[in-house]
Amino acid sequence: MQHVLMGGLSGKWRVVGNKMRPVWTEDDRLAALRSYRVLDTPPEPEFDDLVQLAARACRAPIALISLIDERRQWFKAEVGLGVRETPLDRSICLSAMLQPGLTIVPDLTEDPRFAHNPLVTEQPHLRFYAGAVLKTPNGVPLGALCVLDCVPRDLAEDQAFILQTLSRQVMSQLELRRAVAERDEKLEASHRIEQRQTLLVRELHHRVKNTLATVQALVGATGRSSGSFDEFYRSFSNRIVSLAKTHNLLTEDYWQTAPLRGIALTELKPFAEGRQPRFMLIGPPVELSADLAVPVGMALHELTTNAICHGALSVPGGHVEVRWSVDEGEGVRKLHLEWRERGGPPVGEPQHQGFGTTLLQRVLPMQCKAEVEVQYDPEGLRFRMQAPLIEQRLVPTY
Amino acid sequence: MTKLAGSKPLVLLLEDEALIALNLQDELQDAGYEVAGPFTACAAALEWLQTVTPAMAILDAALTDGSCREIALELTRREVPFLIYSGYQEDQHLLAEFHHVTWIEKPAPCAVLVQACQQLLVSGL
Repeated sequence: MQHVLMGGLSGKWRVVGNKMRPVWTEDDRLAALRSYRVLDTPPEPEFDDLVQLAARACRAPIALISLIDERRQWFKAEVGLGVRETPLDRSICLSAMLQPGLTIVPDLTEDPRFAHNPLVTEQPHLRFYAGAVLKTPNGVPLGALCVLDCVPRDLAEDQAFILQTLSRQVMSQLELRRAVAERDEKLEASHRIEQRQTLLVRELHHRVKNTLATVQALVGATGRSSGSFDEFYRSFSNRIVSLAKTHNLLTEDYWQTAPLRGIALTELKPFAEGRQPRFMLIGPPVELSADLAVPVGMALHELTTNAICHGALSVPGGHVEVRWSVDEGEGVRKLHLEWRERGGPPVGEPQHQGFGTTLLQRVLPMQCKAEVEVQYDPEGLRFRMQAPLIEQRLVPTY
Repeated sequence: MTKLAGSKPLVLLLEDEALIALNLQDELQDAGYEVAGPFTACAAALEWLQTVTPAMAILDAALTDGSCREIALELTRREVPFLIYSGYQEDQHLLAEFHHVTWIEKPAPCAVLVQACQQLLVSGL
């Protein structure tokens, strides 16, 4: 039986035979201890029974399941001492934990490591200590199952055997406890996922119906501004396709945002293939949340359609410049977006207010709190908007 | 759709989807209503309600700044009839205390909404 303490808690290497072997670090040890989720939990009969048994078997007035935490030893179960923890400098188990197997100190007053321990020099005047290390299956020590007495003495062979056996029982109980805790956490997590899924399905249902209502409104608005069924059908179909493309960009991204450049490209792409560039996209990467991406996508669709029918994209020499920037003032990030046509036929005020105009001048301000300006400059249509970027996440973080 | 005779009833419109709101506004105006709003947030509608009492109201259940509950309570207090036009199903507990209120699920034809408005005006329910 060992009576010698080898090194402190910081020791990362230990001599075994004539080889240096890596063992646990104190951080590993504390992590292992935490993984049992046992510190500061209320007393449990499984552990109380084991200390009772240890005390009876060793005929000792005091028995403890002592776990060595960072700055204290904490007792999962105790009999005869009357406290749940002590500071580490009073811990005898700290020394025992670092020994393999069983540590027996027949008279604490005669051992220089413990002779000045207040638990020895003062109440309850401890004299005898026997502790069996509590080790994880990986060999990391967590503490000790120990018995103490107020008179100097020793343990019989049977008692030593029982104390060591009980220490393994303590570990079995700790393992079982951890398995149950892990299972409960997994159940809890799967329950949370289930709840979240229900919420998402409900939200999806709501959004689908809202989208259908939007499509329905689009039918109404397109109908109002179309002269013939053919015109209605063509405009309406194109608007639905544009809306679908914006939604594609939104769903590609987990965070449900779409890049502004990507939105503009889905509209203008057919004009990228010619030898001469027909459009320029100039601006930093900006991600738009759905609340902004959908109306902005629709606006760019109306502008493109108008440019193809009446503006710069209706003639070979015309081109479009889309510029944007983001600035920050008073804690709000603002998007500035400008659409400018050049080289098209001369532009005049439109004869009647079509859906495009409604969208730019009524929907954008209402939906995105945008300030909008449309200029029918003879050189080419000029559209400018600035809107606060919506930073709110629609999707919860994992 | 028959147009209403005499002075135009004032309808408060609370709807945060601009396209839906504007289309509904056009349809209501065509049917002879005067539209207040459309408001996209409850706060703005509440502020407006401080000075005006409409003949009736159409409320979306969930707005940019939360549920329409507060508006619905205020309208009930003033005995202003209203209906709810929402993508949520009625049996959800979103607005359990307004169970007696006409609840129209999105999407619905504008004619149905206009008709429901006319009924509200007549019955006051």
